[in-house]
Amino acid sequence: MIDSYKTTAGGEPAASAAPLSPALVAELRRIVGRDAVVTDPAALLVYESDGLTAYRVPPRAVVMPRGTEEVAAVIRLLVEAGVPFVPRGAGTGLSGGALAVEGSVVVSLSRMDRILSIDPANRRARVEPGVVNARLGRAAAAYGLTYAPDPSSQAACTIGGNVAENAGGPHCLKYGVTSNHVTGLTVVLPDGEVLELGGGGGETVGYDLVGLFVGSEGMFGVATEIEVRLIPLPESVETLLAIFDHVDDASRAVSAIIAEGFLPAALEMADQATIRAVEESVYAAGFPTDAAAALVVEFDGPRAGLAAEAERAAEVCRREGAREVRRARDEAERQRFWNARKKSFGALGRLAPDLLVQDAVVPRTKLPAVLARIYEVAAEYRLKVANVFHAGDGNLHPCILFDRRNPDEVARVERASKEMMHACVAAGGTITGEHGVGYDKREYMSLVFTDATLEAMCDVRRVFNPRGLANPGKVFPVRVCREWAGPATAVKRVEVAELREAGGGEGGPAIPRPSPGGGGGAAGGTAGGGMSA
Amino acid sequence: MIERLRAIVGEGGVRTGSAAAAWAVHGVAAAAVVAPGSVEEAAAVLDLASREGWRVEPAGAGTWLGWGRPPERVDVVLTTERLAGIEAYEPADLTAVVGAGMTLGVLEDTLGRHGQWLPLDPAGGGVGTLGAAVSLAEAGPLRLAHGTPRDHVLGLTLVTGDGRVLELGGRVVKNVAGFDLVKLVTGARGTLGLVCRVCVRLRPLPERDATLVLAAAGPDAALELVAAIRDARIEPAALELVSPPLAAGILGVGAAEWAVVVRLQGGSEAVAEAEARVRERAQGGRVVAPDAAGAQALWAALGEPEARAALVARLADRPSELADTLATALELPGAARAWPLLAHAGSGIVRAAVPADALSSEPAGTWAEALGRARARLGERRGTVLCVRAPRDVIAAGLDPFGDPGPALRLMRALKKEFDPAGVLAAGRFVL
Repeated sequence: MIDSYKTTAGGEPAASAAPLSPALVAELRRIVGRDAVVTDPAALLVYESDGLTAYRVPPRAVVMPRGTEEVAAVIRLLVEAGVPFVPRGAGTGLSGGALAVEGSVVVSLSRMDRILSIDPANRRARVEPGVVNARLGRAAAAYGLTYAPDPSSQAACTIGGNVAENAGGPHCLKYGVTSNHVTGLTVVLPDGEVLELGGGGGETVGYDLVGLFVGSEGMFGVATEIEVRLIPLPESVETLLAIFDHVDDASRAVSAIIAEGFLPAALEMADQATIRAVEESVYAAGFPTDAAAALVVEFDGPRAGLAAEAERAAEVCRREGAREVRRARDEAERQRFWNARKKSFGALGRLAPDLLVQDAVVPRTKLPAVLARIYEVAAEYRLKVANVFHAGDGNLHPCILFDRRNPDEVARVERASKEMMHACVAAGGTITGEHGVGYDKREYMSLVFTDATLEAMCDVRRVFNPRGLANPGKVFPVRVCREWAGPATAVKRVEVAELREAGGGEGGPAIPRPSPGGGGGAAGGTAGGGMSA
Repeated sequence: MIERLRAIVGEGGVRTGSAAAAWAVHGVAAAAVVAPGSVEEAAAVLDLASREGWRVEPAGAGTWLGWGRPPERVDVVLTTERLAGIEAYEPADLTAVVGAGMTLGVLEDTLGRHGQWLPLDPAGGGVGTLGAAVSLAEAGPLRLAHGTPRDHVLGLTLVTGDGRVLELGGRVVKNVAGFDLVKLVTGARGTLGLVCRVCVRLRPLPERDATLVLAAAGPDAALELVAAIRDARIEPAALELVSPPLAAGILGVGAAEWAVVVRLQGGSEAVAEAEARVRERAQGGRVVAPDAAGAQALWAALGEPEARAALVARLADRPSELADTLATALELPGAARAWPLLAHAGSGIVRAAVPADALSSEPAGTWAEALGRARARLGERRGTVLCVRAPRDVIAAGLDPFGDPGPALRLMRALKKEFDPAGVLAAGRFVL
C-alpha cells in the first residue's frame, strides 16, 4: 500500500485505462441518453477520486442512468462487454471505495434523486439512491419525523452511498447506524437481474439479504430503491458543551457518562487542534481556543426530566475536570455547536494542503489510552494530528495534516497511520467504524479477520458477484480472493494457503500489488477484473 | 459414530438412547445429542459430520426444535449448552461476549447486577439460549423500541457446516470492516452454521419501567386504543394487543374482553408523563397498573402461549394495516375463542398461538388451507405469514411454514452451499 500511495500521492493522476470502444459508448447512450454518458477526459477528472484524494484514477467513462431499468440495462451491457463498474453517489466517501480502479466505468446514481414516498403512519420512506441524506431528513421533518443516521457529510452524501458504506454519524450512538434503519431494497445484481429484498410490512422470509447488502461497498450490485425507517423528531433536545484543560479528563468523562448509564443521543469530542481550526473558520462557535478538548453531549426525548438528565451529565463532566459546561440556550446556539463539529474536517483542511481522516473504533473504556497513543505516534513521526470524533461510540477519527508534495512526510503519514490502526486493533477495536474499507484499508483487514473469515467473505461476494465486475479491487487484501484473476474457483483455498507460506513475515508479505492507476489485466476491458494483475 | 463423537467431545458430551429422546425434532429422535465443550470441539464435530454426511440439527436448550419442516432424519443434535459462560464483560463498555448456550435468564441476572440489560424478550422467557434467539431471530414485545436480534448482535463466532471457525463482526459498537455476515447468520436458523459465541450491545436498565393494561370491549375497541396510543406522542417500549381467552386469565379483565398492554421505559418523570397520556387516551376505560413483580409475571405470561403452542403463526404487515391483519387472523379456526391472538400491535405483527387440543379439533388440511389463505391475503400487500412452529401433519397437508422468498431464493441457496457445502445442517427445514 505504501507503494501505491506514493504513486498516486505524487500529484499526477495515474494513467487512465483505455477509453471504451465507440460502439459501447453508443450503446450506453442509447440506454441513458446522449448527455448521460461522460467520456471527455477533462470531465472525467471530476470522478478521479472520492473524499480520500490521496488516490486518483479517472474512470473510463461515467454513466448516469435514471431508474432501475436503466441501471439494469447499463449493467447488463457492461457485464457483457466484460467492463467492471463502480457505483457512485456523491463521492464523499473517505476510503477510496468509489475509486475507478481496474479500468472501471462509474455508474453515477446522482440523477436518481427522487423521494418516492413518505408513509408517516408507518414511519417509512422509499427513496432513490441519489437522494441527499439531509434532504430526506428535511422532507421527513414535515411529518414530525427524521432519518436518524447523520454522517458529517450529510449535506452532500447520498442515501445510496450511505447504504453501500453502512454510514454512521453522531446520533448513531443512540439510534444505530444505517443498517438499523434500512428495511427494504430494490437492487440490480452484478449480472443485471433486478431483485426486491425486504420492504413492505412483512417479516424476512429466508436469509436477511437486506442486512447483508448494507455495507457491501458496491460489490453486491446497485441499490436503486431504498426503503428506510423514520423516527419521530424528539420532543425536546438538550445540548451541552463541556470544555476541558486536559484531553485525558475529556476522554475519562466520556467513559464515565457511558458507564453511569446515560444514553446520550450524541457524545462528540474535539481536541485543541480541531477547536482552533474551527474557531478560525466561518464555523466559529465560540469554543475557547486555549481549551485542550471539548465535548458536545446531546440528550433528546420527552421534555419531562430531560433538562435534569443533562444537568446530571454536566455534573459528571465537572467531576472529571471540565472547567466549564455550557448549555445551548436555543436552537441557533445548538446549531452552532453542531456546525462546528460537522464542518471541522473542512476547517482542518484549511491548515494544510492535505488531510488524511482516519476511522477506527475502540471499546469505550480504552479511549483514554488509545487517544494518548495516537498523540504519541504523531509526535514520533513529527506529524500534526487533530482528533474530532464520535467519542460515545469509541469511534476515533484522527486527522493527519500533511503536504503530499513532500514525499518524506507522505511516508511518515503512512507509517503513523498504520501504527495508529495497530493501536486501535490491539485495544480490541476495529479498523473502520463508518467509512468503510474501500481501497485504502484493504491491507488492514487481516488485522481484524482470520484468513478463514476473509475467505468466507470472498465466498459471499462470489455468490453476488461471480465475475468480480462490481467494484473490483476493494475491501480485500490483495492476497485473498485470488481466484478473481481467472475463471477457476475450485482451487482457491489451496492458492491462498500457498500464498501465505510464500508471503513471509510481519514486515510485508511478498505479494503483487496493483498500482491504482494501472488497471492491470483489466485495462483492455477483458473479463475477470482480476485483483492480482 | 458414537465412539468417534465421544473421542471429540468426551464421554459426557454425548447422549444417546432415551437421554437423546427428549431432543427429538418433530418426533424424529437423534442418534446422538452432542454437546461440545469448546468452539474447537464444535468445529471438529461438524467437520466430521460434513465428511460423513451426518444430518445435524443445531440447538441451544432444545426449546425451539420444532421450528420449520420436519427433518427426514437426524443423526446429531448439536447443542451449545456447554458453551454457556460469559467470556468477556466490561460493563463500562456496554458490551458482552457470551457463550451461545447461556440462557437469556442467566444473562439477564448477570447483566442486571451491573444495572444493564439486553432488551430482548422472545416468548418462552429466560429458558431459551442467546444463541437460539439469534439463530432464529426471535424477539418479543420489546422489538417495538429495541429491535430484533439483528439490532443487538455486534459479532459472533460461527462454525460452518464443514467445520470452519469464522469470527464475524467484532466487539465494538460500530464496525463496518468487511461484509456484514453477522446479519446473514442472524435468523438463518442454523442452516449456515452453529453460532457458538455472541457479542451483544447492552443498554443501561431504564430508571423506570411501567406497564399499563387497558381493557377493551372487543377487537374494534382494542384497535382504537392502539391507534390512540400510537397517536399520543409517546414512544412505548412495547404496545401489545391481547385477545380472549388469554386476556381474562392474566390481565384481570372480563372474560370476553380484550386488552391493550403498554410498556413505558425511561426517566421517572418522562414515564410518569407518558403514563398520564396513556390514561388520557383510555378515555375513562379501565386501566390496571401492576407493580413491578406483577408486571414481570404479566410479561412472562404473555409469552407462555407461544412457548407452549403446537402451532405459532406470525401474520405481519404494516402497523397501519393492523385492523386487516387482525381480521385475517380472526378467520383462523377458533381464534380468540379456543386460543388467543396476541399482537405486537405497534409493529403490525399478529401472532396465533394454537395449543395442541385446539389444533386437533380441526383437520390438518383445514389449518393448512386457512393459513395459506391468510398468507395470500397479506401477500397482496407484501405482508407475510411465518409459521415459526407447525406440526408435522399440518405441513404434510400442504402448509409451507415460511412461504416463498421469491427470486432471491437463488442467492440464498448459493450462500447455503458456501457455508454448508455438504448440506448437513438443518437439511430441508428452512426455505431452502
